Amino acid sequence: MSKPASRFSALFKALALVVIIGATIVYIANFRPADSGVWFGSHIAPARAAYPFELTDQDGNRFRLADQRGNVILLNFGFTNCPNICPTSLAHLAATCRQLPDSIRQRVRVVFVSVDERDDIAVLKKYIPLFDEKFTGLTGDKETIGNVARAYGAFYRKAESATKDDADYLIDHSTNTTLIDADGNLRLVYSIDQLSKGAEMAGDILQVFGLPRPASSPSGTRP
Amino acid sequence: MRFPVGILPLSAFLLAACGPSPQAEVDTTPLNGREIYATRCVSCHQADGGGIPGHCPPMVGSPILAGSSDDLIQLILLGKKGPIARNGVTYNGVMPAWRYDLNDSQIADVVNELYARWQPHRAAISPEAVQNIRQSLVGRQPFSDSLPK
Repeated sequence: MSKPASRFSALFKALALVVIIGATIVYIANFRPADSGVWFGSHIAPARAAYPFELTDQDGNRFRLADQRGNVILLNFGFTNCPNICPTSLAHLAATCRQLPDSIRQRVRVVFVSVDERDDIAVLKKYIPLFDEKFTGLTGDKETIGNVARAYGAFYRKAESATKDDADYLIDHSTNTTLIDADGNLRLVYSIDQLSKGAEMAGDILQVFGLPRPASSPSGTRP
Repeated sequence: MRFPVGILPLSAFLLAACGPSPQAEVDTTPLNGREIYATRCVSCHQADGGGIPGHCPPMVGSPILAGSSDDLIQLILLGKKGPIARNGVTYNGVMPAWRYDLNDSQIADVVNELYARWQPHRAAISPEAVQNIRQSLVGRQPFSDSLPK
């Protein structure tokens, strides 16, 4: 007959074994090969599927994220009357795109989702080409826009200074830009301050496509 | 010596919980004119002031830079949206309204940086000059256009 202490020890070992096996299974199930290299943007690891959405672009065509496999998407949220954040972000993104080789540039889509009900197709049609003819502006019904914004962690609300009957209200909104890779996975997030580093962002985009990062596009300051 | 079996489950869970890298710390040091140009202006106006064909006119030879500093300050505060013509060429872009982001001292700094680069004979302006223009624009919407074409 075994002693209680050794029975406890055997039980503990068995329990530890079960936990190790369970944790290993969980880990393997969630494992994706680590991305090589260092990123300039905040890296989302492991990569996970981007929220699928369908909205209307500035030409009145349906835009489905699922149709964009093969392209890298740079997604941000804003409104066309935005005095500062949106024009700055879009100008920086345009500058980043200009740094890409043309073959890659053709596979990068900057997508601007308007969170302002005033921004209909006609408004977007005038606004988007101010930055780049190839950019995409999206609009949709309030509920869909809200769902998409929530799914990507974007925040927005009418500015407190807005009066009830003021058609010139501003909207406070978050400023991050999300990179979705060619397989439809969330990969990187950029703060607005990072957007001014076009060479570093272009390096990330090349790396997302599995291409080497040019020596002139360092991965930035993060280790 | 016994192997510490108990540490293994903990290690496995820690690996499974690996997430995004931490954000870089935000540097809140106020920017000077050169840094503001490098981070706010250069993506359109370019480091050499050459602008972007079709979108942003060049700094070199700009009548706004050569003209009244009040007009230049107003342009920086209110921004500009839509087409402008320079020497027979049309540029269609957006310049943000910087009054929300830059204080009087920073705007004076960036104006003086522009003058140092492209109008070196111009006298420096003061933050008080910016303050006066800013006050005169209270109630004006961003992009409201009253600047020289």
